[in-house]
Amino acid sequence: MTLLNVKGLTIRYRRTPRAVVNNLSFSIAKGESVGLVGASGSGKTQTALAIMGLLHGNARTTGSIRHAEQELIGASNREWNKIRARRIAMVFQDPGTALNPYLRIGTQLRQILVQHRLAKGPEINQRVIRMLAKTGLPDPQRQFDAYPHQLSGGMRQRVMIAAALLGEPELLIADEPTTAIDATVQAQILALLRELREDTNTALLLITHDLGVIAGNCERMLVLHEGRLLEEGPTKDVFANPAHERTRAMLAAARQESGPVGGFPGGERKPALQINDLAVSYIEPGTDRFWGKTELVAVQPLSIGIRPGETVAIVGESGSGKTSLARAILGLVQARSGTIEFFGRNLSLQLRERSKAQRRKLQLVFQNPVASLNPAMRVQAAIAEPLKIHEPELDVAERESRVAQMLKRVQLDAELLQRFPHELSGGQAQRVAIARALIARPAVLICDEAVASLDGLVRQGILTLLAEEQRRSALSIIFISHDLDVVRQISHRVLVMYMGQVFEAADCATFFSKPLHPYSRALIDCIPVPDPGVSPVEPPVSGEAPSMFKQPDGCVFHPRCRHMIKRCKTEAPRKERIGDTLVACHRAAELDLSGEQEYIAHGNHS
Amino acid sequence: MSMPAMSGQHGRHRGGSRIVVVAISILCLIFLAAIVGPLFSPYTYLDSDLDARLIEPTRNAMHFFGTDDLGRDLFVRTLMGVRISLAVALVATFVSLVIGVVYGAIAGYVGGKVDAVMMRLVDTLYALPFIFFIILLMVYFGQNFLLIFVAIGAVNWLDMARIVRGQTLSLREREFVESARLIGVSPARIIFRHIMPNLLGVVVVYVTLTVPQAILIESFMSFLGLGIQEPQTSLGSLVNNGVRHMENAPWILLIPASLLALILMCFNFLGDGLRDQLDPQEQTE
Repeated sequence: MTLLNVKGLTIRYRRTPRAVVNNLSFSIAKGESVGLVGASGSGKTQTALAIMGLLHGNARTTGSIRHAEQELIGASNREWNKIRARRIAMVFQDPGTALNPYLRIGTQLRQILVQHRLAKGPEINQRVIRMLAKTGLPDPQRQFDAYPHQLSGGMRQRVMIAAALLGEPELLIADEPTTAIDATVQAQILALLRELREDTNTALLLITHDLGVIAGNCERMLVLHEGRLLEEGPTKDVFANPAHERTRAMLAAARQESGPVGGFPGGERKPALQINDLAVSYIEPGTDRFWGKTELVAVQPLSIGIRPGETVAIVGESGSGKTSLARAILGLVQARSGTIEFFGRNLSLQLRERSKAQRRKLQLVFQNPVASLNPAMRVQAAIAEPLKIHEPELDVAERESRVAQMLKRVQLDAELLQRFPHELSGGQAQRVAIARALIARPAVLICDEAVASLDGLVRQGILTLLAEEQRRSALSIIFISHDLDVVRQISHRVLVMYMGQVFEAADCATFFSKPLHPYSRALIDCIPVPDPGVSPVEPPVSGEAPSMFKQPDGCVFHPRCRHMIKRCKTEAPRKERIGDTLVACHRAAELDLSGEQEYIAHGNHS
Repeated sequence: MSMPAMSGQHGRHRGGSRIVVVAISILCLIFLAAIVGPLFSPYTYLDSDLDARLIEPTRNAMHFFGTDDLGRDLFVRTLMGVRISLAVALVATFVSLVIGVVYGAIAGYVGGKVDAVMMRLVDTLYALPFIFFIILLMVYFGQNFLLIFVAIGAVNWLDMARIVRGQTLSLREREFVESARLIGVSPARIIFRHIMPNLLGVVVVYVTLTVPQAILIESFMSFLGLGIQEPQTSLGSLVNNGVRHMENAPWILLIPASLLALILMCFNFLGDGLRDQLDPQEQTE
C-alpha cells in the first residue's frame, strides 16, 4: 500500500533560474525503507523539507505530494500540525541545533505527546522515558531532566529519534542522521534505526551521500542529481546494475578498494618532522573547587617521525586529541612539553617564535574549506598571498604566472580566479585551500579532516590530488581523519588515538589486515560496506568515549572493550612492539583480530 | 520542537529591503535639494528684509517656506541648515569611523594586556559627562566650527571602537585568520587585509546609525547655542529659533523640525534595514 506519493515535484527559488528539484516523482509504501542519495546540492534536503512542509517562504513548489489521499502541497498550518510528528516525522542532520538549548530534554519531548493529546497526566512522562530507553539512551530517567548540552552528539541524536518516534509516525525522514557524528556512533545509530523500524513498521526515507549507509539500510533507493531523479530501483539492482553513468561513478568512488598508495617507497631516510614526547593540555577554569582550575590532558606524551614523502594518518573518535596534536605541531596551541625537530633542527613550540621560513615549510588544510578562506578575498589574492610573504622579490607578472600554474595543478579553471570563496563549491574551495597551502612549497602538509565535509566523487578527487602532489615533491602528509575508508586509500602509516593516548601505530597494510588493538578492530568494522549483499555489522563498540574529566582507571578503553579482562580495569597497558606494530593493550599478543576483516576484501561478511 | 517556527521569517526580510530603498530615495532627494535647492530662490541665507518678517509659507510665492523674525527666507535657510547638519554629521562620522575601526581592530586582534589598557581608556572616556566636556572645550577654545567635529567625533568613535573590537575578537578565532598566521602573514597585514574587510558589513550598518546620532548631537548643541553661530545655521539652530516664535509663527519651528525628523528616521530605517540584510544568521539559507 502506498503511504506517500510524490508526483512531478518541482521546487524553485526566486532569483535562481534553475529548479532545485525538478519534476521528481516517487512513492513510498507502508513500512518500506527508501534511500535518497546524491551529492550535496542535488536537492535531497529540499525534497525532505517539502514533504515536511518546512520550505522557506520564498520557495515555489509545484506538483503533488499525497499522503494517504491528502494533498500536502498547499496544506494549511492547522492541517500541518496534525500531520507533522503524528504522520510524518523528521530527524535532522545536526542534533546539536535541532534541540532547544534552554529546555530540558523531558520538557521538549513531553510537548509532542501533549500537543497531539496522546497521553495524559503521569502517563506522559512514563511514555517519554520508555521511548528514551528504547532508543538506547543510558540512564533515561536522568537524561529526562538533562539539558541538551549535557549530552554528547550521539546521545542527542538518540533523543531526536525518540522525539520523532513519540508521535508514532507512519513515515520517518532521516536527513543525514549520522553525518555529524563519529563512525563508531554512526554504526550504533543505524542499528538503532533498523531495530526500531522492525518493531514499529515505520517507513523510512533515509537521506545520505554515503552509499555504504544506503547499502545496509534501504530496500529501495533513489539517485538524485541536480534536482533530477537519475534512477530508482531496489538497492541490490542499482548496486549491481547502475543504469546511469553518474551512479556508476558514485559507486566506483564508494568502492575504491585498498589504497593506491601501497607501501612506502622511501626506505630508511631521515624524518622530515620528528616529534618527541609532545604533550598538550588545556587549563579549564572553574572545574576544581579548591584551585579554581584543572589541567585537562588532551594529548599524552607522544613521539612520532614522518619521513619525506610519507603519509601518516592519525585516526580516532572526536575528542581523541588528534586535532590538538596537529595544532600543537603547528604551534597554534602551545604544547606543554616535548620537542619538535624539523630536518634535525629544533622548532619552537610557539608559532610566534617561528621564523617565516620555518612557517613556510609547515602548512595546514582545514576541514571546512570555505571557512578557511577569507570571505572578502578573491581566489587570485588568496593563492597569491603566500608568495607575497615568502617571495616578495617576484613581480606581479611572475606571481600571476605562478598562481596560474598552481591553479592548473589543482585542476581548477582560470575563470575562478576572480570569484569569492562563497561562490565556490566545497570541492573547489578545498582545491583553492590546497593551492594556497602548497604554493609556497611546504615540506609537511597537515590535513585536518580535509575531506570530511566533501562527498563521494569530490572527496576522491581531492585524495588523488594530494597523492599526486606527494609524488611530485616528496611532501610529507599528516592526515587526520575519523574515516578509515579514506585513511586506507591515502596513508602509509596509521596512528590510532583514544583519549589522548596512542593505542596502535602500524603500517597501513598491516593495520587493516591485522589490527592488534580491539579499538582499531572496532574502528575498521564501523566502515559501512557499499554492498547490499553484506548484512550491516552490529555496532562493534558500544557507547561513546567518556569525558576527559572522568578518565576510567586502568586501560581507558576498558568500559567499551569487548575483550576486557580483570587486569584492564586496574592496570594501564604499556606500549609494546609486536612485529612492526606498536600497541598498547594487555591482550594484544593473544587476541587474533584479523579474521573479522574478511568481508572488506571479499564482500561476504558472515 | 523548533520545526513550526520557521515559516514567516522571509516576509520581514523582504519588507526590510523595501524600506531601505524608500529611505535611500528620500535621503537622495533631500541631499539633492540641499545642494541645488538654494539656486532656485532669489534670496540667500544672509538677506534680511525687515519689511517681510514672519511671512507665512503660502502668502508670497517667492518665499516657499515663509520668512523668519528677521525677514530671512526660510526655504534657503532650511536647506543651508540641512547642508551644514549633514556636513558636520558626515565628517564627524568619518572621523569616528577611522579612529574607531583602527583602534578597535588593533585592540581586538592583539588582545591581552594591550587590549585591556586600550579598552580601559575607552571606558574612561565614556565616563566623561558629554555636555560638560563640550562646554569646557567651548570655554577654553572659544566657539569654533572645527570644535564641533572634534567633540562629536570624540564621542562617537568610542562606540565604533567597542563594536569593532567585539567583532575582531570573534574574527580572530576564525580559521582563515589561523591560516594566515600559519602562512606567516604579519599581524599588521592580518589586521588590514584579513580582519578589516570582514568588518565592513557591521561597520556600514553602524555608520548609518551614527550619522543620525551625530546630526542629533549637533542639533542639540546648536539648540543650546553651543554649536553653529549666526548667521550660519543648522537644523538645530533653526529649531531653536523656531521655538521662540512657536505661538505666532509655528512654521518656523515645524518645517526644520519635521525635516530633521524625516532625515533621522530615514537613516535609522536604512541602518535597521541594512542590519537585517547583512545579518549572517539570516544569510545562511
